[in-house]
Amino acid sequence: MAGAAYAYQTLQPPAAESRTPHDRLVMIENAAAAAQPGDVLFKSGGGLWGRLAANFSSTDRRYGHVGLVAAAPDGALMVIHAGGDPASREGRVMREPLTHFLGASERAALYRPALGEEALSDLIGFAAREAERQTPFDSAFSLDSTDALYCTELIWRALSAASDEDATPKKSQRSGKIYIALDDLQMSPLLAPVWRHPAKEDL
Amino acid sequence: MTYMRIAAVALGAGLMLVSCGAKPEATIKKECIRLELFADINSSADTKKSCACLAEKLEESMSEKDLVKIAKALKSTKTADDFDKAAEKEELSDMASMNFLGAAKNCALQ
Repeated sequence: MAGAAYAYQTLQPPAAESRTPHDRLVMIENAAAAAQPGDVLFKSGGGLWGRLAANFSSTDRRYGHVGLVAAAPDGALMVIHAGGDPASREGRVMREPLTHFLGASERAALYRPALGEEALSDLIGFAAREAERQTPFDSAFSLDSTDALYCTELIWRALSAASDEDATPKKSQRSGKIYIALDDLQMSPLLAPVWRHPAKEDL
Repeated sequence: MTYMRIAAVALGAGLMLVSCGAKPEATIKKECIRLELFADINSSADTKKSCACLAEKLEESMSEKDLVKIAKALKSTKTADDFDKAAEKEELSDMASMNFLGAAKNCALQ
């Protein structure tokens, strides 16, 4: 039973020093300055739920959620992501300003896809279409269905469609279920880290 | 048949332990509000709604056995930070914790 039981106590990120609102503001400003449309933005989650999500990664448990950076018509940076919505009580693919997306986070990282201009446009277009459709959040975390998506699945499908290859050849598996963990996406051969906050932090 | 009877008795005992006969989803909602599980990500005004949503989604997607485990883990938790250890003690499976997270994601901002 121990193998199947929820493995919480290993590979946790370093205890988060409590960051001030000023630190958070600086992080958001720096992220906005470094981000480009098409970048993949990882962030630490808020409280219990962020920890639960991070625990499904096996090597790097700093992050609990991920989205894709895109630009609004006025040039403002937005993030397209699959997440929850307390107003409708139904999770879905949505877009929100980058500043809101990072609002409750203490850690964040930007990864840039190694894609040409056309493929980059395809990548953003894929995610934008899912946001327009308001594709439901995939509570079952299934890779078999395409009519519902979870956060890493959205980015994986968008990257794979834009590059014509499996963007995360290494996928996680637990209790027979295959899924895309946040660190699977971080290790995608198509992505390279370009910025993170805090800049220096051991795993 | 004997095994099924034992399992039924154990499940019943578990239910009783959770909250004196209250349904596990009711316990989950109550404990979610007490622990303010959504406080970090939603405004306080949304906490009750989010907790009701969480209990409802879990009831739809989870087995009674796993509902009881989550209810027991939440009930024995003093703060949201302690939930991890309580879940481990209840031997909450990976699939159950994934269901728990999936249900919560539908009910809250990230």
